[in-house]
Amino acid sequence: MAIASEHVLEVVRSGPLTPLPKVPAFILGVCAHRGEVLPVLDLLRFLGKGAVRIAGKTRLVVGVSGNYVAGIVADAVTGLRRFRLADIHPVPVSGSGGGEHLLGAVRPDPAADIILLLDLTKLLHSARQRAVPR
Amino acid sequence: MIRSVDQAPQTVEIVLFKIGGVTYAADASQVIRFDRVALNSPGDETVPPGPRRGSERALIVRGGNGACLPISVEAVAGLRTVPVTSLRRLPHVVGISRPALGFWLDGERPVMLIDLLQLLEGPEGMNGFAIER
Repeated sequence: MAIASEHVLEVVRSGPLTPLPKVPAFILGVCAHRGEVLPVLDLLRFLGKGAVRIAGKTRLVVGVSGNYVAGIVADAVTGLRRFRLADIHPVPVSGSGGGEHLLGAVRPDPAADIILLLDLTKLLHSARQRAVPR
Repeated sequence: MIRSVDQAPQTVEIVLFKIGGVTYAADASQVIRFDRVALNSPGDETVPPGPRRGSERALIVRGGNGACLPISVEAVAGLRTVPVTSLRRLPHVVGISRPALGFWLDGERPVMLIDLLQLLEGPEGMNGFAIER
């Protein structure tokens, strides 16, 4: 998966998490980050595709969109890549596959795996909507 | 001539307690005293206790009607005087409503601040703070 770098503040190691009551399971908790409280999201749980496992290479991608800032757990961060807009293809929107939170997909070369581009703005707003008690 | 003005307090005293193995904090001025839980005593049913685990303590809080009510907790971890600059609001993405107020940053560890008076008004009491994973 990939996130547009303009939405990424930094990538950090996951610090100690404080679990939270009364929140959906995809919010793993909060941690301190540069003197502020950072909510930590499990994207797999959010998309209904399983659950992340915190391990040695686990990193937090600190994403931002407007007032919303969150740490997204990643098994590993593999680096920065540049794609041409023309190479980004739309993905089908499905009810359960999380397609509505994707900007598109790109295959850097025929032998490579497809990279899904996350719509971080939509993702954080959806997370907020699901997290707020009604 | 420059006159001195009253300044807002720079520190606040908080009480730390545990529910379900997780540490929470509250404004110590809301707590009259600590006590052992008087299980099955008259009046206890007004505030549902937290999950039963080990020895239990109670935070005695004065409710809106003036009555002293016990809030059962797993353990009382003590009182701390902390700078107000170490307090933080709830993050935007996390939609926890009251009685959660925000966080106290204990170094690298955020500790959730709870409004005990709001908690008394809620139907769940501390049961709502049992985290199940």
